[in-house]
Amino acid sequence: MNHPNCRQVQTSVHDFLDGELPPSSAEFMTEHLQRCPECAHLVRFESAVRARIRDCCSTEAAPPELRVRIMTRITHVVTQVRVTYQERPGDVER
Amino acid sequence: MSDSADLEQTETDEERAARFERDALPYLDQLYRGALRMTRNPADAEDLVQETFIKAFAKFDTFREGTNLKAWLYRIMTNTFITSYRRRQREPLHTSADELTDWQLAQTPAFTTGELRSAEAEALDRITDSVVLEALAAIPEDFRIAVYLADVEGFSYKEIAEIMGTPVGTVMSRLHRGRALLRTQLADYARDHGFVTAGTDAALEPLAAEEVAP
Repeated sequence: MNHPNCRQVQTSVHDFLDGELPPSSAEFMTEHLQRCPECAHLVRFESAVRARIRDCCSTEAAPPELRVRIMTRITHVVTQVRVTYQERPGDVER
Repeated sequence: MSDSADLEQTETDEERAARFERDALPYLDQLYRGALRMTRNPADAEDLVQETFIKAFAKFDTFREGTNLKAWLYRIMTNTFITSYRRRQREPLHTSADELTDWQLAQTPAFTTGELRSAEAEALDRITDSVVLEALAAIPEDFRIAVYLADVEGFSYKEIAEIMGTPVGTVMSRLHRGRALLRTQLADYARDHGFVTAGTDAALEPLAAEEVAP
């Protein structure tokens, strides 16, 4: 893990998983991972940590009333804007 | 461009409301989950999401069809959160990103990742959802939002920069620090609960010392 290539992999593991490495660096990384089990392990682990975080943050749903409340407000805004516009043209913005 | 201009001219308010409901409302759950991570409580999350959708509808005619609607909604929500929620939410317990010393931050990265890693996926599986969410909630706001947008929503650095209104370099730094802090929290938890065996620390320490100075 102290080989310069390994250190480079360690510092760019997140950029790699984020898909933000320039193509040449990503290619270098992929090649290195095929040869280095330790770095491959690191990448797999980091990827598992992310998956874990993603799973934890993917379960809650908005309360059904919230959707109703939002659409009611929007419909209300639409109606109000029309009334305001008809009464006082040129003063549409609130 | 000309399409959206035509649309603006011909679309009635009712049609726009219908289009909003069809295109934007499906992101409700996703935004609510993001809002939960930002505000850290359901009541504020609901308020934040409602305000976000009302604002989004008010300027829906400026949204260009074909661009990323989810990112656009997130930008409105993040901006709303930063300007109106953050102030009244400030918790003295948590230091802001700026107050963290370099020393604190330098402590974290390689070592804790290594430590967690040594315990393998097993440790990860034994950490409950609520612990992971608490760990995320405990990291400073700007870091937390960046990590959430990247790891959960899968936005690119550039998109996160636009959503948070910061340069890409700042996003990268927030991600780096946020991820490191999050892993520290998880590693601490794993160690405190005996998910990480003693003895692995010593093996990883030389690595940690070398990796600290970026």
